Amino acid sequence: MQAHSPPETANESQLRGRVTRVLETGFRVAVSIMSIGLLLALVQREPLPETMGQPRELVSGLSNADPGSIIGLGIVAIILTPIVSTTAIAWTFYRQGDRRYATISGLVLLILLASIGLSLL
Amino acid sequence: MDTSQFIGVGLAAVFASTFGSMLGLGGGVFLVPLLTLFFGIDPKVAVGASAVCVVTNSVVGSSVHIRSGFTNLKLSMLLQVTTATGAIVGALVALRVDASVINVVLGVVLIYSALSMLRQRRLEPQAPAKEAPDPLHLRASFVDPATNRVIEYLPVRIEPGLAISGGAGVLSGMLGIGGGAIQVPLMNLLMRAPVKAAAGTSSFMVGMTAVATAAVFYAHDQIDPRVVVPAMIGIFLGAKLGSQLTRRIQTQRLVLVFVMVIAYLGVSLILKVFDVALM
Repeated sequence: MQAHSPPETANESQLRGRVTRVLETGFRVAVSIMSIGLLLALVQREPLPETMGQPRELVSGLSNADPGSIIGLGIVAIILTPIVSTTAIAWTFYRQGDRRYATISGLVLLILLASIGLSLL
Repeated sequence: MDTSQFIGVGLAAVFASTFGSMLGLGGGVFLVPLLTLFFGIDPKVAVGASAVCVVTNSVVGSSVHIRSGFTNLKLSMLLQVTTATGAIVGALVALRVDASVINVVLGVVLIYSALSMLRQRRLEPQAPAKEAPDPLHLRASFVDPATNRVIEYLPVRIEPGLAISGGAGVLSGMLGIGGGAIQVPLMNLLMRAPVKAAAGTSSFMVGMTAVATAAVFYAHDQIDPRVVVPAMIGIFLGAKLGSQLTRRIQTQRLVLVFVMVIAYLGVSLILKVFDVALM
């Protein structure tokens, strides 16, 4: 006999759907960018770089279509995906009128952004 | 890095993320020791690569876990407040600490995780009473496809859970392991969440935690694309496989295997500091 979970509320369903979409899209974008970088590196017979390069080097490399920088951008995209998903969670709780969890999710987002900000100082 | 090493790192990542995703460990707990022990990669570079891979594993695996209803998003947000804060502290400490210290700490964490998982194997929380208080609205349920049973649960002991979760964050920041090795036993043993819910929730959390770690290692030029790229390819394959297996397999049966693997890696890392190598 098939077991059925207690019915999920519309809010829960909306939250789950939104977070899943963000995660899947983030991954697809990151993989697409990295694949382009890898392909370029193969075509140009360039070895992969030892480091990703800091933001300025990354931007400069991207303007020159440098394969290493494109791969670096893909890595940055995957790193940013959980931040986008946390934003989506905070926003969804806020829209659903759940102030407690909108605040908690917003706090998590702030801590994550602070950690990135601190690391780049 | 030559082609054989590229493939080897990729295969190591498949192994790490399959098992990691199944138990919500992120995979870093397996990947860091594998990269350092078998590929001679500097522990700091291994931790940096692992942090990126843990994020990837979480992103891929969580989409499946969330659909399955295993992930308790409210609980994940709550615990993440202290975990993410701890991760910043841990990552800053790691950059100033000798590599052998990182190896010893990781070894101890692995052995602790092995013992916790051994206990966890015998304990499955009972369904909470309907009238049990739930002030934080954390009560949740899911259908376990392996047994076709509806599992209801209500996480308890939130305050100590938050405190220990902060400690898990510090360790994950130091070691780039995502913290799942501590979060899963914490949620299961202390907070009374079922293993699959703990794994699904932890799987989502470790990605957020590892973001902070990855950012710190990126800023210090410790993320090496030569290691990250093959590892990410392997992580993608393993995360999909692992999260699907979580749905179908009775987790308890696998815990013994994980315990043995984790204990072996933990002991190996500690012995490595004293120049003793296990087979």
